[in-house]
Amino acid sequence: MNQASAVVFVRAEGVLIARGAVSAATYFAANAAGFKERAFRLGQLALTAPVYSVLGQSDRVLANRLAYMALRNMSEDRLAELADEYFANVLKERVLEAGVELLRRARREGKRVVVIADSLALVIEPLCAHLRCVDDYVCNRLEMRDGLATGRLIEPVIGGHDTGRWASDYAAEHALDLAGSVAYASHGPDLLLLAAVGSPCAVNPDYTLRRAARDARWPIVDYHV
Amino acid sequence: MSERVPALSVRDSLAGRHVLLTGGSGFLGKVWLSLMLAEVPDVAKIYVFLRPKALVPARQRFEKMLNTSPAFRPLHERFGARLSAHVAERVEVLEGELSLPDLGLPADVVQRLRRDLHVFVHCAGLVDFNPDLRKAMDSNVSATMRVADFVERCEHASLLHISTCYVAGSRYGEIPETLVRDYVPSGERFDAEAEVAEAHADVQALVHRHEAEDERARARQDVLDELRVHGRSEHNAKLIETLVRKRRRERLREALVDEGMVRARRLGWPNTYTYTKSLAESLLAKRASRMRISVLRPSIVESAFDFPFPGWNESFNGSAPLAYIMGSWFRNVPAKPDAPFDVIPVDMVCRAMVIATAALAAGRERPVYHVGSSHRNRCSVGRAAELIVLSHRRHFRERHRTRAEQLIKSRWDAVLVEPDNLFRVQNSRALLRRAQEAFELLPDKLRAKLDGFIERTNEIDDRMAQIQKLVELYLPFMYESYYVFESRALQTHPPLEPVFAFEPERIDWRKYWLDVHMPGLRRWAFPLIDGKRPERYRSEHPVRFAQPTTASERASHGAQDDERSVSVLPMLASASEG
Repeated sequence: MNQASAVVFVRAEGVLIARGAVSAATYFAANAAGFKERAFRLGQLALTAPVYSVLGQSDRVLANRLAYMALRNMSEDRLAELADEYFANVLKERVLEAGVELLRRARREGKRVVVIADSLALVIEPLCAHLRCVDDYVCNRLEMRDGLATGRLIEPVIGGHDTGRWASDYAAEHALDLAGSVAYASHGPDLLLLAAVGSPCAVNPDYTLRRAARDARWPIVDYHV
Repeated sequence: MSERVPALSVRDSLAGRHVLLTGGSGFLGKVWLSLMLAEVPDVAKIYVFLRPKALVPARQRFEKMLNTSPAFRPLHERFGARLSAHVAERVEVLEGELSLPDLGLPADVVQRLRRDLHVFVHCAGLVDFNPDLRKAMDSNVSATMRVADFVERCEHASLLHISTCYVAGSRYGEIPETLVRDYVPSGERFDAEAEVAEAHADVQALVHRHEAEDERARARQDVLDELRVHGRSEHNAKLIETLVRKRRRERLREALVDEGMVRARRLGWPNTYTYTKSLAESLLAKRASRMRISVLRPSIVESAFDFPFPGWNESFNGSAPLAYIMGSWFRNVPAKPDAPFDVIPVDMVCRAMVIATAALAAGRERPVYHVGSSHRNRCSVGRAAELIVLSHRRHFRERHRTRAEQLIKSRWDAVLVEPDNLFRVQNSRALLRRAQEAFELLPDKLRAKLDGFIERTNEIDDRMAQIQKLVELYLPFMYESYYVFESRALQTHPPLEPVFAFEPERIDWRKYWLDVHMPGLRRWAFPLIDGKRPERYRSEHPVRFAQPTTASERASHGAQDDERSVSVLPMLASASEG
């Protein structure tokens, strides 16, 4: 099998960046228009914390949906400006160099690099442009109506077990060989993604994924600071 | 199937034509002239009509304008040392006065113009929202009628009159591109000629009243009281006379400003500017059967999209004062977020003006052209306000002078509120006045210690009074009306040359406000509000015209031209610090 038809799937949160999706949502909420609105949105976001702690290692779809609800009625203009700010002031500093090296190596080997993220496209787009070694990405997108966020995520919502199926569909669509492909992931919900490829690797895994990786004898890499 | 609209070749239509421009030293006039000189090389002659100012002849004013205004930068860059010749071949500066018969031009020039002139572009006018009624009537009504008289006597000239979309007055909904005789927004029976006569009579009556002896005595008493309060001598007759004269002038001006606003608002216009502009249109409409007229109505003219370069601006009547105060500590802006905020870049307006000029030259003109964005690419008041706030945020984060600007002011977002909001500026002022009254009750010793603080509250109150005035001026546009200006007439003769295309659809509002308009305001318009001298262009090859020839030019050759007052809105000078 020729390597040009192989792909590397990389989970952004935990592998490439030391910040989760909630971090960006919190930044957006904390910088909404007006003090009252900021307090209200942050309060709403705080309510999602228990959901993340309960479901974070198994299925994040519900938690992601709830977290992004806090951005309802924020303008697209503000979100875009805040996303640029967030990337420049927060995320850029938290890019994990070891993770980026994994991408560069994959590119050198001629593999297609696809980033998968719970974060919003607004955040992931500048990240991928900055990394300069990403061929494609799939991430969550906020639904917009008349220039305002509805608070709903556009399907498919990233964060659940669907990522495995999505990876299979992606490979089929682009005539890529999954058995010769690699996946780097760090959360429990990524189990099916790792299981779908020939060379899975758990990077800085959470408890659930670490246990599963050990059971499946998948390699585990820890570099998270 | 849609019908194909025949294109209009702007360059062919204007080749060999004579065009006269008034208001060439204004924001629109300069960009239009720069665009014409850059892109319509075969025009036979552009007459630039200017008044002599402060003893500086028109030709010298024009030369200075050409050499220092950034609006002409593309010309300098394109033609370099050849620009003098390029301009001299195409431009003739006319020194005149719009308030005089035959525009104050010499008889031989009048004769020549009557024979040669094809299009008269009347761009001059008073654009302050609340000028004194006498000045506004003179500049916006009487001068326009003089221009119309002039055009009517020409052999084949037509008139392009630059007005404003807001002549519509307080209205709701789509405003059509029509020229209506005796138009009044309130819909009552109206006769524009009678209104003009009545306004002139009222101005005269006010002037007489302020010249009366009892007014003089009242002003004198006020001056003496003030001198007494400040512990100054009451025996300096010369000083007192000067102060009395100044006080009377101010009172007359205030009375004329109030009279203008009262007349305008009674009939449904938001201010004296739109009222006088509409009166001029009504009077022109009555002449439409006798002469060829097009009225071009821009909406709020703002920073250039790409010509002469992105961001060029020297307008302080559009969004500039509002954007300025939204970058201050003032937060609550009364506005309706859903209402359209019709701004249009100056170069798009000038492209439309060139198309309308060419249409008149080709005999394909339409009576009215709306040049705005609300019909074809709407930006709402809410969106504009959000983008202003975001631009201030970006500015204070990246170019803060103090830590407070970076940490607090960048997050101090202005918000849109209802006019009766609890924290509106009137309530803040009332609260401040209560505090000042409370200070009066303090023991003398303690009050003396708080003297500096009390003085500061007076300054804050002054600034809030200015902000209140500004908010009141903008309220009709931001809250009380909902306008969408139909913009179809320009599409009836699309230009053949892409450089003249009028395409408001091309504006990406986020990019425009954040990367073009707000940086433009910060660089070109905010310094004017701060009373600072704006940045000037310095060309490598300054344009030099032939030696002056007229008597006034010889008399004042070499005099310095202080072309524009830099302190445009001193009232807001330190609002951002307050």
